[in-house]
Amino acid sequence: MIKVEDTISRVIICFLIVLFLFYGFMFIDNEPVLAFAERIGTNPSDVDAAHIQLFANLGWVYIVFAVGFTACLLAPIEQSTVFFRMMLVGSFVTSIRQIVLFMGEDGGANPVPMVASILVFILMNVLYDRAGMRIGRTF
Amino acid sequence: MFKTDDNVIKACMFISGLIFFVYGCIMMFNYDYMIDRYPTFEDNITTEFFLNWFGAVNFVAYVGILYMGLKGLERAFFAYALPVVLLQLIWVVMSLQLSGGENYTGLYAWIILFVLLAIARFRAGYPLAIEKAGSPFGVTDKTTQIMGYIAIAAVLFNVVSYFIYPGGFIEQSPLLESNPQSEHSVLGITMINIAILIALVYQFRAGLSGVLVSMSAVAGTMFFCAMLVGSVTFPDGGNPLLAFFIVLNFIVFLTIFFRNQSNF
Repeated sequence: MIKVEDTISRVIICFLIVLFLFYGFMFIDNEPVLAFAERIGTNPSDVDAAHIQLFANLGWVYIVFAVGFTACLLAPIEQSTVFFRMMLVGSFVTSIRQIVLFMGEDGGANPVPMVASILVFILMNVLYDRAGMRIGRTF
Repeated sequence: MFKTDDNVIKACMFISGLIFFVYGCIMMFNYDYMIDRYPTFEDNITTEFFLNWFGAVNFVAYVGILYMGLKGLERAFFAYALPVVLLQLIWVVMSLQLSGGENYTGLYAWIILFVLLAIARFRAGYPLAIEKAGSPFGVTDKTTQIMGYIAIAAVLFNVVSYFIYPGGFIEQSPLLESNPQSEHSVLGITMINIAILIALVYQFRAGLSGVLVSMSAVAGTMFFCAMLVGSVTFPDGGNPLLAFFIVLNFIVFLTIFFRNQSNF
């Protein structure tokens, strides 16, 4: 059933599925969003219906990413090249952005989102490398 | 689709999947819609918690139908789906008796669902007798067998503990309010556990089934992620025993899945 043969790649993909599902489930519901906003230093009373809607949209994107990783697990690894490449660039941009936000004024209340995005970037790198997808190796 | 030429089976499974999917999505992601349609439902965390739970169960059943759409019908799915729908049907009838019959949509949907699944099951021509596998769970892998026994023991514990002390689940969950709806919802969860127990015992006798193992892995992951979200949202509102069983299920079902997925 699982077509990815490398065990470490499997473990990384499974971890990323859980991570994206966790953030996805957290962002699509009202109470977890308010709790998340509070933890990253935002006053929950500042979070209105529009913010919750935007969080929910982001949550669904995360769930779709989890579905994408599940599809990668069930397909031969070379078929996932474009998805991995997109996630690698996306996680790089996100982690840089999170680092800059964390370093900025009033941005340092909670480092967990920054750590999570850096972790995803590192894991995507490992995954990309182990799958032999780096340019120069495949074409 | 479903690796069959019988269009009746295809239609029955498609509509069943659609019903599971619609109920799963509404209960998990748009529970306000359900709350608006049932006057006795209170708009609070307790109602949301149980609607999410039932929604996840429906969604997992949809995943099973999706799996079979790609890989072909499996008899084992019906060993779980028919009991779970029948038990939920009984539970819905009991709910209507308690509430005085406020909304019959769920009852009709579940009757249609049961009939559709029964038609698909019997048109597929599976015999009623369950052939015994050569070894427990049809595998020689000791770890899988032990995990299977743990899963049966855990579900059995949950079922028995409900009948010994029905109010225990609500009492141990600080976040949940005790009221007639929530107490009745715990009965609904127990009925789902009975169906899961039937499916596990079926697999113990007839061998592991790809669709049920995959459904278990999806359910285990979904509940584990939901538990993580709940634990960070309500740090003081958790039920330690429930968290223990969710983590245990996650470990057990994923171990079974990863050790046997190459056979499916």
